[in-house]
Amino acid sequence: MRKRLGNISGRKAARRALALLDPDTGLLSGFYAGKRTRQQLARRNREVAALREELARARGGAAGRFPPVSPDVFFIVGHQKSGTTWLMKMLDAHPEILCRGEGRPFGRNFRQKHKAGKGGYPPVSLYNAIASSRWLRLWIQRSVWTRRDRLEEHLDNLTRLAIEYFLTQELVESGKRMVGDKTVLLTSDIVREIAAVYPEAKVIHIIRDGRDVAVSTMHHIWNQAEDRGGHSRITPAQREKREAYWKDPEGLIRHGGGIFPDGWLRNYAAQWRRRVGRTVEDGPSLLGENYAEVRYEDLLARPEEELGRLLRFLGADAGGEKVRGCVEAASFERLSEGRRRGEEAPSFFRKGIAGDWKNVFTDRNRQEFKEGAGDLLVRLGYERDGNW
Amino acid sequence: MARIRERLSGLRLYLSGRRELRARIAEKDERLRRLRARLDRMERGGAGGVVPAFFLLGRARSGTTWLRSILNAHPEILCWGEGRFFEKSFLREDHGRWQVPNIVPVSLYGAILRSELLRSWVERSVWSAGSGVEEHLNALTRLAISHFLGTQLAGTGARIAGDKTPFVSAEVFGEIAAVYPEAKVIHIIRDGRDVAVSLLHHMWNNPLSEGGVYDLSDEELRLRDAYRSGRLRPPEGSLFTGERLRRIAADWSREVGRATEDGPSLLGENYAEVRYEDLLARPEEETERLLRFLGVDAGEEAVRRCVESSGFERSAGRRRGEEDATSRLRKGIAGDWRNVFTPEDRRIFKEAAGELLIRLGYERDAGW
Repeated sequence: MRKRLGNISGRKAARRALALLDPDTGLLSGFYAGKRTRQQLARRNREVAALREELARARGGAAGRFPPVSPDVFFIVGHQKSGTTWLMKMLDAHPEILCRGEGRPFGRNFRQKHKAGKGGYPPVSLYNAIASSRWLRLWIQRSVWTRRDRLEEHLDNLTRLAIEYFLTQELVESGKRMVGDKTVLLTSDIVREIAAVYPEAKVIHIIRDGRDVAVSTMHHIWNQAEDRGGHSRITPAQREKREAYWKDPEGLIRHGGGIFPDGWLRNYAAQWRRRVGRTVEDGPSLLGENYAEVRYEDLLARPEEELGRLLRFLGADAGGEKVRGCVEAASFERLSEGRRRGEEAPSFFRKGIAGDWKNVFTDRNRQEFKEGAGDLLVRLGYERDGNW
Repeated sequence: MARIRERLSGLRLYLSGRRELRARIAEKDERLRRLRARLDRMERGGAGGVVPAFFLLGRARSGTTWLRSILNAHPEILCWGEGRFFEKSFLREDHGRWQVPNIVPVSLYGAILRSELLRSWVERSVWSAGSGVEEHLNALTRLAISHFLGTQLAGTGARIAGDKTPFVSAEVFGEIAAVYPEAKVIHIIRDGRDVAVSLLHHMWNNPLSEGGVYDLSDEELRLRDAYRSGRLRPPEGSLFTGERLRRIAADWSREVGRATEDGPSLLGENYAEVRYEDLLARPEEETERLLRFLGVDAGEEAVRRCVESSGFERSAGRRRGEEDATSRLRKGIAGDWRNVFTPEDRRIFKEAAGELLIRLGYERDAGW
C-alpha cells in the first residue's frame, strides 16, 4: 500500500516536475522564447519532408525516361598527382557509384594551345567551350527567348545542362545511381565555378603534401614525355635531369643539384599553393556541407576508415564489405600491375607512397619549396613551422 | 521519465544557445531552396524530359507573325518569335552591319554545331565516348531549346511554348524531326506570287544600305523610289527586276515544295499546314483546327479570343486592302499580285514556280 501510494506520489511529483518544466507555462517558460524558433525548425522539417516526397513522386513518374532527373552528382577535385585517379578508381568500384575522369567539365579559363588535346583529354573544358562559342554568345544576345543582359547566366545554365546531360547519360547505361567526375584543379577557380554552376553537387577534395606532389609530377613529366611516346612536354633541362637520374639517382640528388631544373620547383610550389590554398578556402565557404576533404596520406594509412567516411558523405552504402571491395579494387598492387608500394617504375602509378620527397629534396629544393608554398604546408598541418 | 528527459533536453538545447537553432534553421532553409530548385527543374523538364513545344514555320511574308499573334492570344499557349532555334545553315556573317539588334544572325542549332571547341570536347571527353558527336550535339540543342522555352513558360500559366521563325531552307523540318521529334510543327503557306510582292516591299523597307538586312541593287532602289513617288504604276511597269523575281520564285518553289514533302513524311501527325488565304477567309474554322492540333482548348470562346485579338485592323490601325507601303503590315490581303504583276512578271514566275502553284492548288494549270 505504501508502496503504491509512494508510486502515486512519485507520479504526482513527476507531473509537477513536468509542469514546472513545461516550456509554455512552467517556471522556465520565460526562457523558452526559443520556442518559436523551434517551431520554425519543425515547420521547415515538415516542408523538407513534403518536398522530398514530392520529389520522389516526380522521380518515380520520370523513371525510365531520358534524361532521368537530377541524379546525385559529385566531383573529386585535387591538384594533379595528388591521388585523384586512385580515389576515382576506388569510388568507381562501388556498386552505386559511377566515377570517371578527367572529363574536364570546369575550368572557365582552361584551354590548351595543343588543339588535339594531350593524353586523350579534351584540350578545353566544357565550360570554356560553351562560354567561348562566338555564335552561341551571339544567339543568346539576340534571341527573344533569352534575357539579353544575362549572357553569363545563360552560359552558366547551358554549361550545367551539358554537364548534367553527359554525366547522366553515362549513368543511365551503367545502371548505378550516382555519378562523379574526377576534376583536376586545372585552375584555382574550379570549386568557385562548381558552386556557381552546380551548387547542389558534392565535392571531395583530395590533398597531398605538395612536396610529394612535386616529386611525383617530375617523374610524371619524365615518364609521359613526348619523346617516350607520351603526352607531356619536356624541356631540354628536364630531359638532362631525367637521363642523369636514370643512370645514377643517388648521384643526381647528392651531387647533381637534384631532380628539378633551376627555378621549376619554386614556380610549381607556388602553383600548388594557389590552387590548393584557394580550394581549401572556397570549399567550406561556398559549398558548406557539400564539401569534404581527404588527405592522400590518410587514405594510404587508413584506407577503409577514410573511404567509409567519404561514402557516407556521398550518401552511398558504407558497409564494411563494400568499403573493402573498393579499397581492394584500387589497390596499388592492382593499379601498378603487381608492384608493391615503394617499388618504383616509370609508370603513371609510380611508387605510391607518402614522404618520398625526403629521399629526393636537396637543401636548395627545400628552400625553393618554402618560398613557393611554405605557409600552405603549415596551414595544412604538414609542418609545424618553417624549420624543416 | 522519458518526458522529463525530453523536456530537459529541450532545456539543454535552449541553454546551448539559440544560435545553434538559428543555424539549423538556416541550414534547413538552404536545403529547402535546393529541393525547390530541383523540383522546379523537374517540372520545367515536363513529361518526356523536355518542354511541350511547337514550331510555327513559314517562308518570310507568309503570315507567320499574324498566326503567331493569333496563337499567342490563347491562354494555354506561349508563342514568341523569332527565336531561330533551327536551320543550321542559317548564318549571316554580315550581321555587324545591321542596325536591327533583335534579329538573330545564326540559329541556336547552327551555333552549337559550329562551336569547334565544343565539338573537340565532345570528341575527346570520357563522358561522351559512348555515341557519336552529332548525336550529342543534337541532344545538347534539344536540352538548350527546352531550357529556354521552359524558362519563359514557367509562371505564365501556359502549357505549351512555341516559337515562330520564318525559314530560308526547308532543312528545318528534318532538323526538328531529328532534334525535337515530339514537337508539333505548323507550316503556314501563302501564294508565292503574293509572297513575292510582300517580300519586295519588305526588302524596300529594309535595305542593307539603310541599316536593314537586304542587299538591294541600285536599280531596285530606283524602282522603289519611282513607285513611292508615283512615277511607277504597276502593272504598267514592273516593280521587280527580273533577277529578283526569278530568285524569289525559285526559292519559294524549291523550299516550300520540299517542306510540303518533308513535313508529312518526317513529322507525320506532328505536322500541320495552313494557308494564309484560308486563315483570311475562315479565321475561326482554321484557328479552331490549329488549336485542336496543338492540344489546347478549341472552344468557341477561346477561338474568338484568338481571332479578335489579332485582327489586321487592330494591329495595323487600317482596314485590309488599305496600303501603307512602308509598314510591316502593309495591306493584308490575298491576290494582290494580280494588281501588280506585269505579263513579263507572270512569265518569269510561271517558269520558276508554276508547277508548285498547281500542286498547291493556287492554279489549275499554266493558263493564268
